[in-house]
Amino acid sequence: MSQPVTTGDLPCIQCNKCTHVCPQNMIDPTFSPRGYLLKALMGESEELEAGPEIWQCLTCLKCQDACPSSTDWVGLVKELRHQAKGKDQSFDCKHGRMMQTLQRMMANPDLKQDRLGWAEGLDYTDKGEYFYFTGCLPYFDNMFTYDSHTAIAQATLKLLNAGGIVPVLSNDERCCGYECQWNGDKKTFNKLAKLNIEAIAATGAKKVVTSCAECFRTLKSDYAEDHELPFEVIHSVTLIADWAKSGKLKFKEQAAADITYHDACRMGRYEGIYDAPREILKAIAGDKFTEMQRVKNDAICCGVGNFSNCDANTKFLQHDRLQEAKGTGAEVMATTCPKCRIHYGCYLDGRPIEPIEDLKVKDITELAAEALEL
Amino acid sequence: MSYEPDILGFACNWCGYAGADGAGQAKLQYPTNFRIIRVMCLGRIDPGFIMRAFEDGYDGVALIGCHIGDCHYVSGNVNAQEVVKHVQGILDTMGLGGKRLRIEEVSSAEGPVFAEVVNAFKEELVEMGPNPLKVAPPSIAPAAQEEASP
Repeated sequence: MSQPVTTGDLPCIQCNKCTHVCPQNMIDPTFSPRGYLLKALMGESEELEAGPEIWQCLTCLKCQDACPSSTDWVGLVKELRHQAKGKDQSFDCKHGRMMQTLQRMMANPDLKQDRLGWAEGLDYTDKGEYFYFTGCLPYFDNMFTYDSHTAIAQATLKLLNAGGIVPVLSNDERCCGYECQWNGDKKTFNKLAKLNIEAIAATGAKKVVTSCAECFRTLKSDYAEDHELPFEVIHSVTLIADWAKSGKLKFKEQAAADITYHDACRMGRYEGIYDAPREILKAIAGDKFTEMQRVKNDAICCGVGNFSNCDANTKFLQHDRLQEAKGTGAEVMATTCPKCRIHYGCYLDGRPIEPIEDLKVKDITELAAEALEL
Repeated sequence: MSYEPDILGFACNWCGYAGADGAGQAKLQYPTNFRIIRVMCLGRIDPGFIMRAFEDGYDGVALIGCHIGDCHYVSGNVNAQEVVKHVQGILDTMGLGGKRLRIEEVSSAEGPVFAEVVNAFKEELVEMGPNPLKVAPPSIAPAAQEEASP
C-alpha cells in the first residue's frame, strides 16, 4: 500500500470530506478546499495567492472539523492571504475597506478615542479586577444602521452589574484586530494586540469579559500566540450561564417569543463553547427554546468571513439558515456573535432573496437582559 | 510656519465642481491646500473613502454638491447627507471630531459661495488643530531631510 501524500504542515489525504461540508461549496460547486489543497501540495500555492479563491473562504472551520487528518486549511488561507497582501495581490474588502481602514487608524498610538457614550447611567470604573472589552460595537452603530449594536454592550453591562461586577471600561481600548489578522495584515494586528494588552494591563484587570465571539477568540487564542497575556479572557455567556445556574441571576419564567440558537463559528468550532448559551436560553425561554437541524459543530456560517467576501453566495447561505430558523417556528434567532447579527440583520433589512417575515436576530445578552428579574 | 490644514474636497460634476470653476474665473481666493476630487455625484461617496482620507492625514474633508432637489441623479445628495451624518458619528467616537467632515450645497452659479464655505471651513479647522493621525509629507519629514543633506 502506498503512503498518503504528506508534506509537513499539510497532512491532507485528499478524501474530499472538507469540500462536502464546505458551506461555500454548497452554493458554488466550483469552490473546493480539497482542490486548492492539492494545488498547494503540488507546489502551486503562488497561483492560489493570485486568485480569488482564498478570499472566498469563510474561515468557518467546518472543513477542519470534518478532516480526518487535521489538515490546517484555514491556517494555510491565513498564510496565503498574508503573502498575497505583501505582493499587493489582495482583493478589495467590502464596505470600501472600511473595517480595515478603521483598524489601521486605531493602530495609531496617538489616537484618543471618545467611545464610552453608550455606557451613560450604568456602573463602570477605571481600575478593577474585571475589564469589559466592548470591541467595535460603538462604531457599528454608525456603520450598520439597521440595528443598535451598543444595545449589546448596554445589555452586557447591565447583566454584569446585576451579577455584582462593576467592570472597567477604557477609552484606550482598540479594535481587537480580527479583520486585519484574517485579511493578511499582520503588521496592524500586532500593533493592535500590543496596544490592547498595554491598555488592559494599565487598568490592573485580571479578567477580561467580552460579548463578541470574534473578540473572544482573538484575545484568548490569537493574542496568546505571540504575547504573554497578564489576564484571563471570558465570554460573557459563560459568566451569565454560571450565574443563572447558581441562582445569582433570576430570569422571568417565560420569554415572550419562541427562540432558536445559531452557533457562531468562533464560539463553537473555534473555542468549543456550545452549552453555556443553551443553558441561558433554557433559563429564559424554557420550552420555547427549540433547536435547529444543524447545530453545534454542524452549524453553517452566517455567509461573511471577516468582511472579505459578500456576494450572491452569501445571500443564498443566509437565506438557507434563516429559513431553517423560521422552520423551527421561532420568532427570534439568538446568537453570541455581533457579526453574525450584523450579517443576518443585513439580509432581513432588505437585501433578501425572498423576504422572511417575523424573524429577528438578537444577541443572547440582549435577550437575557430583557428577561432579567431585578 | 503657521499651520495650514490639508483639506480634501469631493465635488460633484454638476454643481460643486462648476462652483469651483466659477470661483476660479472670478479670481476669488480660497485655500491652496484644498484639493478637489471630482465625482459625478456625491451619491458615489462611500464612507470608506472619507475614512481613508483621514487615515492618510487630511485634516478635513468637505463634500460639495447640489442643493437638495437639484441633484442630477434625483437623490444622490440626500444619500450623501445620510453618509456624512453617520461618518461624523464615527469620527466623534474615534476622537477626531465630527466637525472635520462637512457637506455643503453650492450650485454651479455660486462661485462666491464656494470660496466662502471653503474659507470658513479652513478657519474652523485651524481652530481645531491638526488631525492627530497626520503624517508629515515625505518632503519635509525629518528623516528625508537627513538623507538629503550630505
